[in-house]
Amino acid sequence: MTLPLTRRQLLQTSACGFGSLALAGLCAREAAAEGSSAAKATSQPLDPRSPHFAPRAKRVIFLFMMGGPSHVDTFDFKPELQKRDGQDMPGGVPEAQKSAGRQLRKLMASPFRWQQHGQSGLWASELFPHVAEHMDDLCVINSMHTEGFDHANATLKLHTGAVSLTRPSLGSWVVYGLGSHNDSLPGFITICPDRGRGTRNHSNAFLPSVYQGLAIGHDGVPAREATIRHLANARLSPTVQRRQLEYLRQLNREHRARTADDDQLDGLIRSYELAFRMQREAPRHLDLSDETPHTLAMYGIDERPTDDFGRQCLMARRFAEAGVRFIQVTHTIRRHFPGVANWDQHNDLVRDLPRNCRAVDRPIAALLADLKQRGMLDDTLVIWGGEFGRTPVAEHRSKAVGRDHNPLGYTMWLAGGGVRAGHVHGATDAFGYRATEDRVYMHDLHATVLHLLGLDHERLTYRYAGRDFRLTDVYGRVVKGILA
Amino acid sequence: MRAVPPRAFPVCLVPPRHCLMLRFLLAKLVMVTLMGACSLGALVARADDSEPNASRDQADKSHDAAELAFFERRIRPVLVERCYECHSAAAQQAGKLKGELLLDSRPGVLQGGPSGPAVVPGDVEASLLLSAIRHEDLEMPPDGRLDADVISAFETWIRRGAFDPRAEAAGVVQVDARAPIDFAEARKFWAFQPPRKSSPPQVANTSWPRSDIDRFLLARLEAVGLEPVGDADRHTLLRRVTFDLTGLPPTPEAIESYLADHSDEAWSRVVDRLLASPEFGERWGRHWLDVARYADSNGGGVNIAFDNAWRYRDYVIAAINADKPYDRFLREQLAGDLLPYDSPQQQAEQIVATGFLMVGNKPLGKYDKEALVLDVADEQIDLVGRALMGLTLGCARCHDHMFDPVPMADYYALAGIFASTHSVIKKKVISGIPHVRLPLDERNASWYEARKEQIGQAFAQAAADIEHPHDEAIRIRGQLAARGQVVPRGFLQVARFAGQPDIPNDESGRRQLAEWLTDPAHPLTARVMVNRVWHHLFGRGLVATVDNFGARGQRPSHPRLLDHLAIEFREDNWSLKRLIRRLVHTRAYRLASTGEAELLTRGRALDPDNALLWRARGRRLDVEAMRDSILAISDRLDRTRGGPTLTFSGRYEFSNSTRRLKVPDPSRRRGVYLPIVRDHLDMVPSLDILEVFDFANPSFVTGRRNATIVPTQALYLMNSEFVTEQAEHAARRLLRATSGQSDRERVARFFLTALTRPPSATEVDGALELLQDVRAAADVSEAEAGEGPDLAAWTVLCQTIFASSEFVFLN
Repeated sequence: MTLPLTRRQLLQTSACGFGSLALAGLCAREAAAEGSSAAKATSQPLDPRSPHFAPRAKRVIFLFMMGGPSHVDTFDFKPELQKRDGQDMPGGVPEAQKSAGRQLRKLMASPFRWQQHGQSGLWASELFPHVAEHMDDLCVINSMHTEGFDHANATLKLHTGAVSLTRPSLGSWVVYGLGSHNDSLPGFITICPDRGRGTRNHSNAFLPSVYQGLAIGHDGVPAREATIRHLANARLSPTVQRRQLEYLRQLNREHRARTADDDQLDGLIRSYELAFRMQREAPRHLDLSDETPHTLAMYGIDERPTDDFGRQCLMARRFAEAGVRFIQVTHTIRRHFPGVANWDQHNDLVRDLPRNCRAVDRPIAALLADLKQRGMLDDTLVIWGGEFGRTPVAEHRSKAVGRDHNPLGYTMWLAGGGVRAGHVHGATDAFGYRATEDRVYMHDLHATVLHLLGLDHERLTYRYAGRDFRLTDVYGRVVKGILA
Repeated sequence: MRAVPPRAFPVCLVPPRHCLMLRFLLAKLVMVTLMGACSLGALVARADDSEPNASRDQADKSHDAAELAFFERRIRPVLVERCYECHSAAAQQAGKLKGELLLDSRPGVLQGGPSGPAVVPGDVEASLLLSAIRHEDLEMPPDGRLDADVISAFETWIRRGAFDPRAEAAGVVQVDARAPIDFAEARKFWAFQPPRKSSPPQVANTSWPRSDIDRFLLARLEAVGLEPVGDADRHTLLRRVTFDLTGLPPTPEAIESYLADHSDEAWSRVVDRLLASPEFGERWGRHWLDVARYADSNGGGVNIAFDNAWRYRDYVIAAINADKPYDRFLREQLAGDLLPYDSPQQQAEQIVATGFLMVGNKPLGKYDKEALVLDVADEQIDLVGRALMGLTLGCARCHDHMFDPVPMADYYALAGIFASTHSVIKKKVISGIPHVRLPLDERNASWYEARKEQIGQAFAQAAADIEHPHDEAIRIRGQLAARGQVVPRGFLQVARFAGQPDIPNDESGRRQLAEWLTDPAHPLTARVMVNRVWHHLFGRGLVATVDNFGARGQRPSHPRLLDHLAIEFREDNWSLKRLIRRLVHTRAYRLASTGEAELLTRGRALDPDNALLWRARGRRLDVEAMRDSILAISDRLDRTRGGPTLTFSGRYEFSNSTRRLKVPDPSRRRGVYLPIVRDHLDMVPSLDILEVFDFANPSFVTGRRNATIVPTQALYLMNSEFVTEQAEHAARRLLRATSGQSDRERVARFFLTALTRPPSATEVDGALELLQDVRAAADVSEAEAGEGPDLAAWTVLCQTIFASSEFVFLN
């Protein structure tokens, strides 16, 4: 065989054998980044890969507001709804919505004050005063629509494009498509994910498992305690573990030498090396103590109610800096407010929605400002939203009034990485119930996110069980109107 | 004449409803001829009294007048201007009709194209016309989107019932788009041919083979100029076969006795002992449970407990240990409730067996009962297809299978069988899953009474026929409302054979389905199963895609050998144990994974994937084997067999109840008995190992697990509480068992126990140095267990071995 050396040959010929593996891995990574032919010979699943075309964004931070934030109380201002408080909604609600057995009555005006902001004059309610200062950076999609009247279906739709089948998550597809720029961290990290609905939201499904989202903490633990499982050994001192590692490497080296050249075994030994690096490097990214007091304050860390989400957002920025491709940050607040399940305001919207917003508003604004001041907003795509929005009609479960799930029309917003800033795309009907203008279906959003990353959603396929699968199934079109 | 789409179309995706194939059909199909012209502008009373809006009293007439005005003002002009060019009788006469769709008459609109009705009155979301003009699916009209207010007018029109005065069909387009499948042609595909007997081939190296199986393999190697490497050493062999048959490492005693046995029967003795051990059923039962997508809870948003699923699991393990013939095993799992029995115990066992159909993931969040029934049937059809026949039948839910000869009619013939089976009953019932009370005789009645507290009522999660079995209608494009022709319950036409069973009107047809599958004339059942067994023993199936024998699966590497094995399996009364015994007695099974450099170079050049089996294939241990071994070596394995897995705290209800599942401490039992909470494998913290090491995702039929290699696995082995804790137990045990021995002897003993081999000199030296350094570094916190620095040092050493690549890698 001609040059370049494969990893295998390097191992066989190198005097230091195993020790040079990590080096070989690094070389391959750099070579791949430059698109050199050496990359092919040594390509690994997490090596950076060239996108299909020039990307506008290099990484994604997805701020997931679990439960379905009310768009008609936050970013989708509906004058007609404000006027017709207490009246019937023309056309009523469809059977699928009614069959959940809910008491849906009259239109309910948003009880919050609304204002236009910035040069662009985008609307935001008083619930997001800090984010509102960044309206000129946002691209607000008011015409989202999706599938599923219940959380389970719609949440999976948002994360995987499918409502009930186990399919790879958006983040897994992205890392599958692009690889990673960090040698000591996975390419897809999810910070404090919800465990109530299992791991499907960050599952690689049938993609190779190196593409699964690595969870840092989960919704049951405070963000300050969130960490990577098994990252440290609770029993052994660093000295002892270093000695242990030396012996472990010796054993693996001898095993390798006794066994005929075997790709599986090579992969296994390589993964140990990454684990060693992760163990060494990851704590550094998780530890916020080297941030300035100013930064901590900006994110609202060490203050109620912003401490948790502030930490999550700051961690996200640090991982973004470290080269992680796809970072999801989930906001649920059930541990602080028992009985209030995240953003699912079926009742007492007036009390609970502001609580949610207060917990995330400053941290999100800080993240946007922080990315911007570091010059990272240009190539970082920030996505904000939930699995659906909420109905303009009131729901009466108790005396306190709320709004029901609404997948037919709602809002998500994007910022940074190649999207039109200070722009509103699409619209719902007069009341905010159905998306009517320039409708963006979930598959379209997925297609657009991939597009911004330089990936063609129709070409990003994976062969499984005899078929080629896509994130967007057979649908999806890039929403040209939101591209900068 | 209709065009037949090319068979090699690149992308097809399973449900939901639509796939590229359909879009392709819709867009590209050529037209058929028809005659007639549309009558514009004429209000003709509708003749069809079954239409909900067809009443002719005065009130309705005035209602109709309003609707008519709306139609004439808002809808018709758009249709005429923007649609008729391609979707009208006139277009058809001009040869310009597109998509077999006519929009110039009410029948044309309601019938729609090959994808289903263009308009479903009253149901905006189901109306394809709407999704097309909204540019959700198709983008129509192609020359520019309609204005938002026009689209909204169409929504209104449809919501209000899609009043349409254009009564007479100008012509009706035939819906059936595809040329019928030519089954005679389709049956020529290898997998649909009955297995053929052939005599073992001649080989040049006559001294190598130990059996006919070896002859088949060697002939292929010789044909490409390869030869097998040498035999594996006895340590390696014993480790391999013990893991393969029981999922556990050989004990030092077993190693000693095998090494001391120099007779010709030494190997048989080992194999027979392992096959007879109860651990065999636990190991191979788990393989079957992967295929049966077994879990103890439903998964998804409504993750209710399957609190009786364990009975099915225990049935599988017992059946495999008893070497229940595979045909019988299948019949019981598909239709055990319908089979005759000699005793209440047998009846109970057979009922429990049907848990096979019941333990899958059901979309319980669905509101629509009919959709739920068909979705559950879909899951069961997918199971029967992949697990038993290696076919992806789910494709045919929305359109004829594009790659395999499975028309929609076959899918709905099977759907009728499963829709005639109780699988889900109405909401707010225990777990939403039918529970069948098991029959009790005096003996087992008292047995259950005594254990009622412990195991609950004697219910099984089992299948039963519904009261009035019925056939199902084809659903055009898989859409619930788009009912097509009703097809009689039945099986796959491509595997039809003379004398196959008929389904009586008053039965679901599960019993007949089982008979059909296990008939000697069925081309797939035996092949698929022997291939699964081969996969587990050789690391890769003769058909590498073990769950897909269709056109999109891989072709067999050794088709004649596969047929030979399938026929032998069937003729040997479908005995799994004897099949396994034949395979592990081959010389091929006993190959080394390495050999002389020259052989390796040639092998790598000619057959880099080792498809022809010129050497043994190394594999990472699966998670149960890894975990059970660690526990066994640490003397911590709880070998209790069977019994309930999880209980439920609080009342049963139709909601996301994952958090109320109670799981008994499972931390020391064999992997096969761990509670499998679908989508929450890590719910029990000590079980996060399952996710870390690729436990089979219980939402899929899994004949071949992933064997991924990711850094979180190494982190787990180095740092997890589970491994470090067991390492300490292992160290204690070692120190106890070797009191008075030297460190050197102890190291050797542990290598033998954990890795089934003595250590090399350098490994011993390295271990001794490690022990010394840890003892020196040990501080109070590590010594606090009381045994001092020695235990701490041995714990570190044991853990290092558990974390080593060799421990997790089966050679």
